[in-house]
Amino acid sequence: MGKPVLVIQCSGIGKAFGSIGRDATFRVVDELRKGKADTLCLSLLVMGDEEARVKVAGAKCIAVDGCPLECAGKNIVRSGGVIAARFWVMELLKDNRGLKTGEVTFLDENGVKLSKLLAERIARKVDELAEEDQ
Amino acid sequence: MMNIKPKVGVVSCSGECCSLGTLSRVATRLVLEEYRPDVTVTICLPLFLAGELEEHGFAKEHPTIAVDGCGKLCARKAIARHSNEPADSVVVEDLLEQ
Repeated sequence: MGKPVLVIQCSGIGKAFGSIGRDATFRVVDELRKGKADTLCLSLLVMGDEEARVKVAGAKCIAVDGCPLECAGKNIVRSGGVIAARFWVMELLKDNRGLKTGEVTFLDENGVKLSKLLAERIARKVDELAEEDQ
Repeated sequence: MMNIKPKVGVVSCSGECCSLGTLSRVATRLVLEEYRPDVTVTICLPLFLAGELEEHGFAKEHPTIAVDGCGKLCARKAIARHSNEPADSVVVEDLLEQ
């Protein structure tokens, strides 16, 4: 197995977008693509932690951003990483207007549905990126 | 003239690497939503770190509590680096040891 694809999400603590991205990322790295995908603390990366920077520099990265400020994507680039794919939770919400959600601390039913949808998309992208290495 | 006290900032590490970060995040949200909703505010730590003057000024405008999951202390260090020393701080790892 090659190097795991890094899925890096924004921390998004103010709105549900960040929580959905976070939950989806954990679904991918802990369940759907365990071993093929990994994550790291965005704050560590932004703080300039050497271990985090080395990890990002040597990996294919998927940025998962909640809002248009794109903290995840921008900071991957600033740290010398290469973004192989990007996902925006707001785009997901536009595609699924029926799934209204607002809960931040603990996702509600619609939040969980959105997280699962996003996780499936990310997992498929992990597969594509992993195949490129074979 | 009315003296309006600034709200207290509560800034959690993002802590995606381990469950300690999730605990710090959930604790922060509980303070904001349930325990002290009227007197607290927060900001995403990566945004605070990577932001401009407005974001960096957060802890200058608000007395701020850093909530860190692990001993790397990203929240505490970030606040000290860009604004002032935090008014107080909590480390979830230390709480678990206690």
